[in-house]
Amino acid sequence: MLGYGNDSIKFIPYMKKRLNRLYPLYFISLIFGALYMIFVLDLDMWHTIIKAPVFILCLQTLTPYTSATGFNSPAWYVATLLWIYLFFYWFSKANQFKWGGDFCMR
Amino acid sequence: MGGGFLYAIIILSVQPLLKQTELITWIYYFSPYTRVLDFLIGVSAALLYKRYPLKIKSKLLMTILEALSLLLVIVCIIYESQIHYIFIVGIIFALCFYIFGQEKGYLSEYFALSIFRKLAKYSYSFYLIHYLVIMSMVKTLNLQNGLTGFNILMSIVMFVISALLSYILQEFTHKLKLPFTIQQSKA
Repeated sequence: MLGYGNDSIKFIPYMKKRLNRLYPLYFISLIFGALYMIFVLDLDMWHTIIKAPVFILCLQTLTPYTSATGFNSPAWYVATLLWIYLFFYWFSKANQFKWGGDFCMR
Repeated sequence: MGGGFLYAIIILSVQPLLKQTELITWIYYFSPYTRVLDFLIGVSAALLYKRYPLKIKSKLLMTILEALSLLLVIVCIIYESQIHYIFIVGIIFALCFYIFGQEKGYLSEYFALSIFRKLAKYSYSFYLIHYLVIMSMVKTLNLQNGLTGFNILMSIVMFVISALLSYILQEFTHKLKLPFTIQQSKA
């Protein structure tokens, strides 16, 4: 929000920084989640693999048609947060208020 | 910002009119379209913190404020299911962070100890892994509800496994060189 009107913050570094912080652990937790679904819950392996791209791409919370809590239940939060980061970047760029500073975008 | 709050008012004002269904749970709990409001509350708290720091000099008064805000957070966590407007939780947490962010009371001084900083470092991996550890053990050992000695022992085991896994995963991912890793430039 404090980054309103600050053009020095570019989209790619902004998202890279957030992905670097959140995604690696999220991805590993999905692998653990898949193992849990296959070996503990005895779910069909192919059924699990087919659903995997939705969770890998963090799409599970974008629509109500997929289970947001599949694979690893708490991981929905990371998916939602990454989308919010994305919205926030465009939202802050679209609104040309000059709030000064840019620490929220760093 | 104004648009964000207008959007918030519209979304929140219709919430009591809606029946609790899976779709409504998705809209108000999981979806980024609604949860962005919590994010904006956090951003507003950061703005307040940056632009309007508390000018209270008394350490005792600040400690009381810290204790009260922490108490509010605890009450909020206990009674979360009875809070109809989920954004209230966000406001209470933001208030707590705003007060603790001032670092002027005894409690914030205590929570700034290095042990808490270290715990914070592993909290994200703990959050992501704890559910899988708990559910795997509950399903594998067929644990039943109840405050039995065995269940208490298993809870401790679950905690220890989650903590160890969190530590290993955090350290492992910290060292990873990923395609989207930003290389630190040398000064």
